[in-house]
Amino acid sequence: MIKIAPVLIVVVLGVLMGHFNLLSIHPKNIAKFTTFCLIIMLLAMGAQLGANEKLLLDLDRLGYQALLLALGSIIGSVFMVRLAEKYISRQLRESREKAAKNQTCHKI
Amino acid sequence: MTWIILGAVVLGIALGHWVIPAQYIQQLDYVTTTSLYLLLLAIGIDLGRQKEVWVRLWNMGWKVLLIPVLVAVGSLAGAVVTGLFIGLPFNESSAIGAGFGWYSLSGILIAEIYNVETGTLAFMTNVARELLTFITVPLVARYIGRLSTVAPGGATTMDTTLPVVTQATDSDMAVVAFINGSILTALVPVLVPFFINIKL
Repeated sequence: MIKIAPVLIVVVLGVLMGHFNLLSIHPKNIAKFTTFCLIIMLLAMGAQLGANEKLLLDLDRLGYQALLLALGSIIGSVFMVRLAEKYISRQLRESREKAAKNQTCHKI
Repeated sequence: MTWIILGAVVLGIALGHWVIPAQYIQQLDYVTTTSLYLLLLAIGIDLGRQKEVWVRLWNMGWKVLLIPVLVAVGSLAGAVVTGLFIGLPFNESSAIGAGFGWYSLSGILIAEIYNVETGTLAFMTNVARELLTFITVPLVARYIGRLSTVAPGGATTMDTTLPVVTQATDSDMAVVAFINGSILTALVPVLVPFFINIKL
């Protein structure tokens, strides 16, 4: 069992290491390492699931709940962005125009 | 990559069901915990290294940040409301919604912190979200709006579903999608443990 604090500490530690380039590891190797950890973890998680008879019998119920939850999240997030779509579009256009204007000023 | 991940889970289930003796199953907790920490460290390093995101963000103005915030609020609200209908407690539905489509991390975090059943549900929900994103993005682009195309994908709009968003809209949206995905990706390891630990 783990708690929230160690999770955050490890992520922040990683961000700092990445930002200040403390370990000069090639990005490709980081990606390979991430994939490796992920596969080991998914194998172990799958095995825990496979050994749990009760949970295996429940997979179809979980499947339909998963589909509904995913649809709910998608509808909720599309709805929220839609509400602000016009406002954000206008803001983005204005900041782009401002950036373009600044650039022409520099040229002059 | 999606197939490798699904393949690993299916192989794991088969191993756990038929191969690994019961007394070793308990030990698997050490394996998942150790690899989870290593994975989180690597994810952190990757996030810390992406300085170009900040440069792009600066050029676009801070208002572009509203998009991932709205996507996050909408995902959480949508999952919680759905959770009410299917009888899930608030902490479970909100934590599952906070996966924002990043199925591998959200599923494992919840399985580790909380229980394997809810972790499995989070994994399946976020896999379904990614798959549904491929179907819904073209429809959203056509009938709802350009910016809204980054909403279904959530955290995945920085990598796996980025091409779908740009195909349905234009290359300008690639930057917005990338920023949206990066911010949401950074929020997953923070929000999932936060919500799953809420006791009402």
